[in-house]
This record gives sequence, C-alpha cells and structure tokens, in this order.
Amino acid sequence: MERLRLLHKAQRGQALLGALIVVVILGVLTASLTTLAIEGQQAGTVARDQLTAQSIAETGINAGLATVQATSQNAFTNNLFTVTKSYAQTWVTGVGSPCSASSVAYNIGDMFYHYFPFTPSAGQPIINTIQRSSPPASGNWIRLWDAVAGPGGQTYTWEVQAGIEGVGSPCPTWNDNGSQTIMMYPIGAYAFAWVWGPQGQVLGEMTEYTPSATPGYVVMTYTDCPAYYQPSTCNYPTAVQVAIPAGELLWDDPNVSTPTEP
Amino acid sequence: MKRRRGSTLIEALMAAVIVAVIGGLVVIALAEAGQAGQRAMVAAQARRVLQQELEQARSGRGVPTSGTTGPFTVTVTTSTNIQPAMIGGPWTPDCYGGSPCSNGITTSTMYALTYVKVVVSYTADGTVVASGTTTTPP
Repeated sequence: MERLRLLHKAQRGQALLGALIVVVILGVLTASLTTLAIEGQQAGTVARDQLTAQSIAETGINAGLATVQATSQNAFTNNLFTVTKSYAQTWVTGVGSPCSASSVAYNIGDMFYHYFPFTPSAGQPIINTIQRSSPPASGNWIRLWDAVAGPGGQTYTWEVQAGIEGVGSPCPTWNDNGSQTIMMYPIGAYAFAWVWGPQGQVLGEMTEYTPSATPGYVVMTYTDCPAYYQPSTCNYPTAVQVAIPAGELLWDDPNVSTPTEP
Repeated sequence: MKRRRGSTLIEALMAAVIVAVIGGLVVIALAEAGQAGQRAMVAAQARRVLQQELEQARSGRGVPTSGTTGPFTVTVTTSTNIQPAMIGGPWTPDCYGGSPCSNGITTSTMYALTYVKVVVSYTADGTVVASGTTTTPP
C-alpha cells in the first residue's frame, strides 16, 4: 500500500514537471512570435523612412544641379567669353604632359575662382569623398535648403551642396587645327543632399557624382588669325560651351559628414 | 481508491484548462504574426510600386500617371511650388578685370522643376500604404 502511494506521488510529480515544460515552451513560442511581429513592423517603418528620405534627397539634388546647369549656361559661359587665348592656353599647358591631378585641380580652380559665381570650395564644408579625384579638385559650390511635407503631413528638411569641379582624368586638351583652336577641359558635377526628419534626426545622405568615364567639358573655341592680321577679337573665344555631365547616385556615402540642420 | 479517482479528475481538468489557455495564447500570437506578415508583405509591395513611380519621375522617364497596379491605386499629383532658399550669398568672380563679369545665379530652372507626389493606397479599403515626393530632373 505504501509502495503504491509513493508510486502515485512520483507519477504526479512527473506530470507536473511535464506540464511545466510545456508551459515554458509555449510561453517562449508566444513571446518569439510577438517579437517577430514587432520586429517586422519596425523593419517596415525603417524601409518606409529610407524611401521617404531618398525621394526628398533626390528633390534636393535635382534642385542643386538645376542651379549648377543654369548658372553654367548663363553667368559662367558669359564670363568665359572674356578669357584671352593666351591665358586659356596656360590652363592647359600648365598641367604637364601627361597631366598631374594636382595641376589640373589648381588650374581648374583658377578658372572657377575667377569666372564662376558660386563660392570656392575652400569656403564650403564639403567633405572629400571616394568619388572625387585625389587630391580633391578645386570647385565652386552652392548650398540650398527647403522644408517639405512628407508622409503624415509632417515636415522634413533637406539641404544640398552642389557644384562643379575638375576631374583627374582625362587630361585637358588644346587643339589647333589651323583655322581654329579648341580648348576642352573635363569637369564633373557633384551634389550632396541630406534629409532631416520631423524630430530633427538625420534620415540619410545622397551623393550624385560624375563617373570618371563620362566627364563633362568646358569647351572654348578661338579663331586663328594670320600673323599679319591680329585684331583684338582674335584673342577672345568665338564660342563657349559648358556641358554638365550626367551623374550616378549613391545612398549614404560613408565619407560624407553631416552638416547641422539649416 | 475513490479519492484517488477524484484527484485524478481534478488534475485532468486543471491540465485541460492550462492547455486551453496556453493554446489560446499561441493561436492569438500566430494570428497576430500572420497578420503582421501580411501587412508587411502588402507594405513592401506598396513601397516597390512607390519606388518605381518615383524613380520614373526622377530619372527623366516622364511623370507617372495615376491608375491601378495590382491591389493598389496610385494617385499622382504635380506642382511647381518648389522654393528652396540659398545659404550664403553668391561669389563675385572678377574675370581678371574682364568685362562684363557676372555674379548672377540662375534659379529659374530650379523653380520650374515639376514636383511629383505619389500616393499608393490599398484599393480594397482605400488605406494609404505608402507616399512620397520627388522632382523631375533638370
């Protein structure tokens, strides 16, 4: 009788232990499923925020590059018509053969400093990035910002820093074909856009850069005049073209630091 | 023997209650996870649709049109109200004494950019699942 009682007691203990194990396992399963659902929701929110930030950054980049292009076609082009042939030649011959990146940066920096109405890069908080030539070329930059309505009617802020720079390759050329001389100076267009969320948090940065294989150009054409006839018009360009190249986009360039929110 | 049988019945009932409660919680958790998964899938689909539409506008392939795509209704509106402000003033180049020398910054093309707003909603109930804005390229 005593043995039977002890046997029942042992069986009850085993059942309790088994029940406890089942409860713990089911509890862990429930908690895991709940966590999974919460994490899924958070991942969705992050993906949505990134899409929001990217599309707003693209707005800033488009605005910045529109200003770069239009200013290049107007003030910059008009100003370049005042460059004498001999001075333009020094921009090309002074870079060496083959050209050195630092000389190209110095000479294109001289061109922009004296003829382009954006602020020279020395006065701008632009960070050297992996997409830009090394050493960094001198360029001129503009800063723009705006506040726009985003998802939920909340206000998002963007800033863009956009400009043109020299590129390390290919080298600039000075080509005299006997009737006219054409200078071609390769350039790149760059833009960095940051986006801040409604609480002032940085949502991300987007870079648009010129790939080295497809640069744009400053093209200046001078008419050759015979030695016995050298009117002053022979010293100035008969045509100036500034072609801004298409760019590629990069999200969150790791080498770009964030400015303070405008 | 009778007492033992009664005790076993109570234990069985208690076990059934515990299993029912825990089982209920598991079913609820499974249902929530299933719904969350479905919502995530719909939201991801909506984001893909939104991304395609925004990319079309941004890359210069034209402003997308409103319509339906799968289970979603896409509404596209456009405006030209982009009004960014400049930080700092223009640089004044000197043209090495050449004249005329302009420091004019042309902003007219920036203000003329087409601002594109895309709203993706779930056609079945009209819920907005994704929205975004961008501009056409210069």
